[in-house]
This record gives sequence, structure tokens and C-alpha cells, in this order.
Amino acid sequence: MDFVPHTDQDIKAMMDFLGIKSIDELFDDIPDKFKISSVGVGEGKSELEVFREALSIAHKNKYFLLSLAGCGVYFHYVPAVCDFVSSLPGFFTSYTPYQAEMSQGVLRFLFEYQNAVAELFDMDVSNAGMYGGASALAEACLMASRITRKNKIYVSAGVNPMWLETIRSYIDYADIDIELIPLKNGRTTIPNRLDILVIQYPNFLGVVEDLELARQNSSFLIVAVPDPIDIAYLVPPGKFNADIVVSEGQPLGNYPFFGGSTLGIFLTKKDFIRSMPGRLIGETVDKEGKTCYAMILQTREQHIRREKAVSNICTATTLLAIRAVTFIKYYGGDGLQKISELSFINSLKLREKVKPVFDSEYFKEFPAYVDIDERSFAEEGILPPVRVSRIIPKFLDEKEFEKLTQLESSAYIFCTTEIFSEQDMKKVLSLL
Amino acid sequence: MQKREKIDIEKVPERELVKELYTASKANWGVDDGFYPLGSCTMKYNPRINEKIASFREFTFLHPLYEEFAQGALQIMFELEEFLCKITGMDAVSLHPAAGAHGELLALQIAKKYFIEKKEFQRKCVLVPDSAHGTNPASASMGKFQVKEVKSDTRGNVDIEDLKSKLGDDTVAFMVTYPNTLGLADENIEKVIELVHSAGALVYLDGANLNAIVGLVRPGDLGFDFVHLNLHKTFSTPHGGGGPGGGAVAVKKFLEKYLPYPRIERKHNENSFLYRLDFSNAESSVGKIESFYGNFPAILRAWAYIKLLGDEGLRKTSQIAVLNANYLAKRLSEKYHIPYKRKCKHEFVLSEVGLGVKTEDIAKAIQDEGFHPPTIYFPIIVRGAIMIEPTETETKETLDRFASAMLKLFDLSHQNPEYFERVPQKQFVKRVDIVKANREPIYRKMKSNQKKAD
Repeated sequence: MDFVPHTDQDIKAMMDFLGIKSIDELFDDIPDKFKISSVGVGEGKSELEVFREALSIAHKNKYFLLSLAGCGVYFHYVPAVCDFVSSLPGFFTSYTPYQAEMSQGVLRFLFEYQNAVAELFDMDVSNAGMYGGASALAEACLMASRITRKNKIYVSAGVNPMWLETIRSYIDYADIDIELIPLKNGRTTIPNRLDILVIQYPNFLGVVEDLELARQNSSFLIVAVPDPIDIAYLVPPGKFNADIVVSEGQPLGNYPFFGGSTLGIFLTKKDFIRSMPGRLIGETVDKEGKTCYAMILQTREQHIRREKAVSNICTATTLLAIRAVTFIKYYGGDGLQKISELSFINSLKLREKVKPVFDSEYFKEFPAYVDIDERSFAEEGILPPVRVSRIIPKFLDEKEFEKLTQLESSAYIFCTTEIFSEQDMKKVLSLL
Repeated sequence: MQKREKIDIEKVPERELVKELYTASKANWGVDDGFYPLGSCTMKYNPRINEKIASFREFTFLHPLYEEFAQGALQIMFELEEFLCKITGMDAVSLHPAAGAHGELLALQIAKKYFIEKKEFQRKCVLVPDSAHGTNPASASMGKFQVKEVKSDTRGNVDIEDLKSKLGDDTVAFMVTYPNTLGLADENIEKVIELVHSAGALVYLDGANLNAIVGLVRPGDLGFDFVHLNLHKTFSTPHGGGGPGGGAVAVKKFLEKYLPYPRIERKHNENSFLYRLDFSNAESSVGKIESFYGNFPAILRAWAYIKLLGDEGLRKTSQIAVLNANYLAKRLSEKYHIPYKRKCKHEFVLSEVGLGVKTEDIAKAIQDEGFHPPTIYFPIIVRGAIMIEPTETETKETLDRFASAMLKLFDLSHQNPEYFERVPQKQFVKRVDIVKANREPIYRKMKSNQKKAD
């Protein structure tokens, strides 16, 4: 099937108007020898056939509602109202709000998003969203290098390994150097007088890093936050005067989706706003003085500034940002704090039984050497914790990684969220 | 552990929140509202079956670090990669890029690594046509490449002499959009590709405009070395108000080893297939450009779309997209100035020449006629450009209504230019003050008790 609405008469009338006998004539500027008659993806199917095929493929997956696996993707509850967002045509069938008068819905909610996220992280300004946490962190490194004119970035080995891999490809491309700073007892050993420092809070082991020290010892501080909901409980990075904060917005009302539903959260200080990548929405008025919204400071962006733009980013993640702000409004500040606290408390309960590798201050994730049967968790409908061997960055070998993190690849990283009820927690504990 | 202070964000009762969202959605034009001829954006209809499939919980609740529970997801990704290879005539695909510009970035990372390995360190220049999307030069300069612009000739093709003068042993790649942003298939494309190759450089295709040629001609056959595709344009995944999209990159065999890891591997297992994530190219790869494997919901939708259409449907789609554009171009050429008078492909560009008002005024006035405006002021080589892409999913009747409205506005621009000062009238807001928005940027709600952060 196809989605062409034309009748044969329509097509004939249009061809007559154009004075052509065949549609092929419209393609006579393409050399004939390159023309093909078919690409070979197969015959088209009916909607019913595609639905059934998709369903049968879907059934080859095993899905979990409860997950002890985190490491950058988090199973928080997604309220139904977030799904409602994705069903609204004004949001999901529109594009970048170039024409402000016809795009007030998207613009207003992106503005609300910027506002809510800036409030949560206690930073001056948030942009309207990036691809994902990892590439947002990479863009933060590029921005820091532009501002400080330094060509070397110190990155804590406690940064999520997948994020490390992403930073590395971006800064390799930009001819910037990276130096990894080792962990001791789960915490970054921050040397004195660093220029640009990237630190994750809490780090991928779940340890709450000392941002005060990080701030003291660096002239440009980038804080990466794996899950924004953690910040509803922890002292926000803005309180430590971070220069850039990035985070992953998937946990805010977006599904895990095999790691493919990411939203890069990007915040900075107002002094750096003109160096910030991504779209920015501002409040203004219309001709009659009515409050409304528009994209602002576009002279930073590629479609205006071309090779002098601060980034190449264009289409990003609007729909997910609107889901995120919907999530935040649904819970409110107190509600967010509550789910954050519940996630933390569940992790404390787990630590009563499972001893973490280091004697350190953890939030909702922690590493442990345990002998578990992954299958038995799966059979109980619980996604098992992540074995460290699954996430070692590919540019390091196991030994180097172990040296940097003091963590062996046999350790498991546990994660809990608010979705575990008391009964669920009992079940988890019984499996350990 | 030290707990933070109270967060100053109000909880909105669900009933009120739904009302706010619904009201906002209605104050926002989407493809579902009607014609959305935004040039270079391919605002085609988003089939609802895509949404139905993308809501299966067997897909939504998958953790990316547990591939053993995600055989179905890997199968979808593998099959989409195969489809895209066939459609582009390339040998390997990465679905990792989150959007077109992300794909460009990946492609240029690949080019950089390729030439470093060949020890051709002097290659530091990326060429782009003067009609290129802004993302092309921006992606190049992120890699500290020097960007050189190649002129277009009077027919809207790449100016061969100018290309020759800028090509050299310092050229990394020429980033070509085909058909280009004027909606024209370069008549000398073979020559262009041959020249770039003979300088030892790569030819990249910005595939944002692929909706004109799917099923009819393959970039790989034309000689392109690598290409990005926009799943949210050509392959019907929704644009989401500005993402998430999908920006798959397809490459020829000799560039495959540089693609981001993990790739997806398929093995025979008796009567079925086994899929797994394959990290074996980690060393030769440029690395990762996001944590995981691409925008999965967009991947699912593109897969479903290609399955539905099949060979016939894909071909017909491109043909009708081009028929629609040519029909509309000819209707508008009755009054509007079309700077390049040739058969167009999926889109075409009008200029401001001969209009009684500015392009922006036409864009504001067409809103009140019940249409989203075209892309304006791009490409920059056309004075006051009005770039129109109707797509294949719009009826002749819609095109006729749009043409009549545009022709009426043309006349009005001479008869009554003052009319344009008042438009739009029928939208949720009147003309938005962009100057004020930028002069005193308000990017956050101000509160009376807000302290100034320094």
C-alpha cells in the first residue's frame, strides 16, 4: 500500500497541465544508465500484514517492568499523561517552530521545559534539548574548549562509560585531548588546578561525588547527571556553581526503548548563553502586546551562521522535552523529591543485604561482588543488575579500566527506582 | 546524605495539565491540520500504523544493555539496515545518528579517520555548494576543517570550473545535496563525482532530499561514497515539533569499518536467525556518537513504512512527490519568479523578485489562508527564497487551493501592500515581535523573589 491520495484522473490532469506523457519525463535530468526499476525491498504489504509481522517480531523480545539495571537508562514510572503528549497532533506532527504564530503550543511547552529543568538543576538557563545525555556532554566539552581556549579536558573515570566513549569520538574529531582521572574508593581523585573538569554526579558507580572540591580544583566545571530525578533529592549542581550541567532526560516520562529515546539536557550560566549549542526559546509579545514565544538567539545556530555556528545541531528532541516537562508538572517539586527519595530508600534496603564494593556514599546505584543467577531474576520478571563487563569502554582494555576504577569486570551495578513496591523489594532480596 | 531544599515547581492537577496540553497542541500547526509545504523538511503524512507498532510494550520496556532479551528489536534494526542499503545502493548502514546533522557529523568523523589512516594529513578542506544546508559547513568546522564554498552556475548546477579551482590534495570531501536545495538534480552529477574522486577526495550525499529519488536511482550507483538519510523526512517518522528524528548513515564497503560500534550481526541458527550486538570493529571505528544504537522508535516506524510500501510504493511515492512539486511550480510560475526554470524534483524555490512585499510578509499572510508557510530565506543564493515541498501525500485539490491562495497574495502585494502589515489575523497570536525577543532575551520565567545569579 502507499499514502498517495491521487486518483488516476488527477494524475492525468496534472500531466496534461505539465505537457508530459509520462512521469518519467520529469526525471530526464538523471542519466538513464543509473535508473533502476526496483530497489528490491520486497512487495508492499497491507496494514494488517505489517501489524501482525511487527507483533510477531515484538514477541521475540522479553520485556520487564521492573529493572535492577540502570547505567544510564532508568525504569521510572511513565505516567499516562506523558503518553497523551505523544498522541497530540499539534506536537507530534509538527516541526521546528520556525513560524512562531503557528507554533505557539510547541514554543510554550519548550519554554516551560527550559524553565522547569533550570529550576530542578538550579542553573540560569537550559536550552530546548539535545539528542541525548552522551552527545550533550560531548558538546559541553567542545563548548568549554571554545570558552577557555584550552585543548585538553580532564574527565573523571566515574563518568558513564558509554558517555566517555561518546565524548571521545567528538573531541577526537575536534582535535582536543582527553585525560582520564582515576577513582579511589569509588570517588574521583581530583588533582589541583585543573582547567576543564568533567565529573559525573552521582558517578556511574552511584557514588555522590564531592562537587565542592571539584569546583575548587577546576577553572571550568562540567557536571554530568545520569538521571535528573536524582537531583530532586541531592543538592543541585547549580549550588556548586557548575559552569555547564548536562543530563539524560529519558527518565522524565520517556520509555527506555532499547536506549533509543534519549533527551539531552543542557544547562549553563547566563554569561555563556551565546556559546551554548541547541535551540533556545524566549518569551516576547505579539503586535498587540500579548505574551507569546519564539526561538531566540538563532545567530548561534547553523542555519544562520553556517561554519561559524557554535554547533551543527538542528533537529533534536522536542517531543521528548515536552514529555519531560509534562512529567515534571505532573509530579511537581515535592512529588519528584518523593520518587527520588523512594529510589534511594529502595537502594538502601538492598545495601542492607548486599555489601557495596567501596565504603562510600551511594545514591540509587552501587557496585557489588555477588554471585547471582541472572536467569532467576529474569524468570521473576526482574531485569538483573548490569555486570561491569557489559559496559567497559571499548577504547580501554579490562586491565586499564580496572586500574582507573578499582573495579573488576565481575562486579554488578545495582539500581533501584520508585517502581519497586515493598513486596517487589522482598522478592529481590529473596533472590540475593 | 545532605538533602536539597524544596524544589519550587508547582504540581499541576492532571485534569488541568491535560487541558493545558490539549489547548497548546491546538495552538500548533501540524501535518494533521493541513498543508505544511516546508521545503527540505518533507512534511508528509505520518501513518498511524507506525504509532500503533511503536507503542508495543515489548519495544518500550527494553533495556539496551540486555541484548539477549531484545532479539526482536535487533531483527528490526538489522532489517532496516538491509532496506536502507538496497535503497541507497550502499554496503553498510549505521542507525546510530539521532538526526540528519548528527549523521553528517558521523560521516565527517569517518572521513577524517580515513585520511589519517591513509596518512594524507594535508587534507583539511571540506567543500560545500553555496546552496548547501547550514548543517554541512557547521558539521565540518566542528572537526576543525576549513570550509570552502563552491558556486552554483546559472542552471543551478555545481559550477564545474569553480569546483575544479577549489579541489586539490587538501580536499577531504565534497558534501553534495542531491537533488539540491533548489530542488534540482545536478545535470553534471557524474562529472562532479568524477572530479572529486580524481582529486582523491570523498563525495558525500546529504540525503535530506531523498524523497525525490527513492526507488528510481541509487546514490551508490551514482558514485557517492557515503550518505545520510533522514528517517523523519523520507521514511515518514513524525517530526515531533523538532525531533526526535533519525539520521542513518550508509557507506560503501571501504568505509564500513569506521562505522560506530556496536554493529548488528545476524547468524543462522537452524531454521531461524540469531542476532547480536557486534563490537568487533571497536578498534577501527570512529567510536560512538550517542550511548546506544539510534532512536529506536524512529527505526521501528521507518521499518514499518518500508514494509508497507514495498518496491512499488516507494517508487510511486517519489514519482508523485515530484509530480506534485512540478505541478505546483508551474501553477505558481504564472505570477511568481522562479529563478531556475527547469523541471524540479520534490521541491522548488521562488524568489521575491516581482513581489510587492517581502517574502516574510507572504509567509505571514499565507497562514491566514489556512496553510503553513514554506521555508523562507533559504537557500541563501536566491533572493528572498520561498522554498516549497508539497510531498506526495497531498491531493491535487490541496495544491490547487494553495496555488490560488498564493496567486491571490501576489496580486494583493501590488494592489494593497498595507494588508500585509496586519497579518496574520487568524492565528492564536498576531505577528510575534522577534526583535524584542532577541534584544532582551527572556529564556526563563522571572519571579519576583528571584535572586540574580552571577
